[in-house]
Amino acid sequence: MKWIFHPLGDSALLMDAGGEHVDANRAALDLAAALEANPPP
Amino acid sequence: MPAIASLLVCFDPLAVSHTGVEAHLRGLPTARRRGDSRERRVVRVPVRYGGEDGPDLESAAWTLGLTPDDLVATHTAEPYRVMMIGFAPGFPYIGPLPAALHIPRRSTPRSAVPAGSVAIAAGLSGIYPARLPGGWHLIGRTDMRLFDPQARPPVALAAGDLVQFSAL
Repeated sequence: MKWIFHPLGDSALLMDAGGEHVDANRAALDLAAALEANPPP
Repeated sequence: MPAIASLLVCFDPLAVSHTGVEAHLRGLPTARRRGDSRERRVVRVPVRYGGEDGPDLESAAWTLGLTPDDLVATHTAEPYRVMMIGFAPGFPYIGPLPAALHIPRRSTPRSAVPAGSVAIAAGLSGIYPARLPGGWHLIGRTDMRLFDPQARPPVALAAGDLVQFSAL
């Protein structure tokens, strides 16, 4: 899975995944869960 | 906030930089990326298919080369994932549906779709949480309340949930 980072202004970051939407959606959900469990210090 | 193929991350730029957030995301353990417990939540959605509740069931079925019963059987055959919440508060984009149910949006959208309408289009299924305009094919209707601003959380479904439709 390949993430592309898009800095948006100074308050948000959008990440688009390449490949099939099914896999990208699962990756986005998993990454959201991982981020929730491991917030930035 | 996850969407169908992207993730929006909001943060305080005074506390952490873009590069810091990117480095943190890239360093998250792979194993944890498979640990989304919400993925395992299965929500049953009872649906009244066809008739006044699903005025497009027959036309959608014939367009797909199916009988209405076949369409319902396929729609209820297995649980599908809530890929994102969007369009309107509580509106779930559910899928991916099998190829047999892939149908484009209606050529002419409706200016008002009743709340609770269950629809299909573009390889996905959706449920209208309120009376809204819409261009998807309406195949049924549920009494499930998808958005309640007084509830916590106000939306009944979340990205990652599994939805099992069942015919009433």
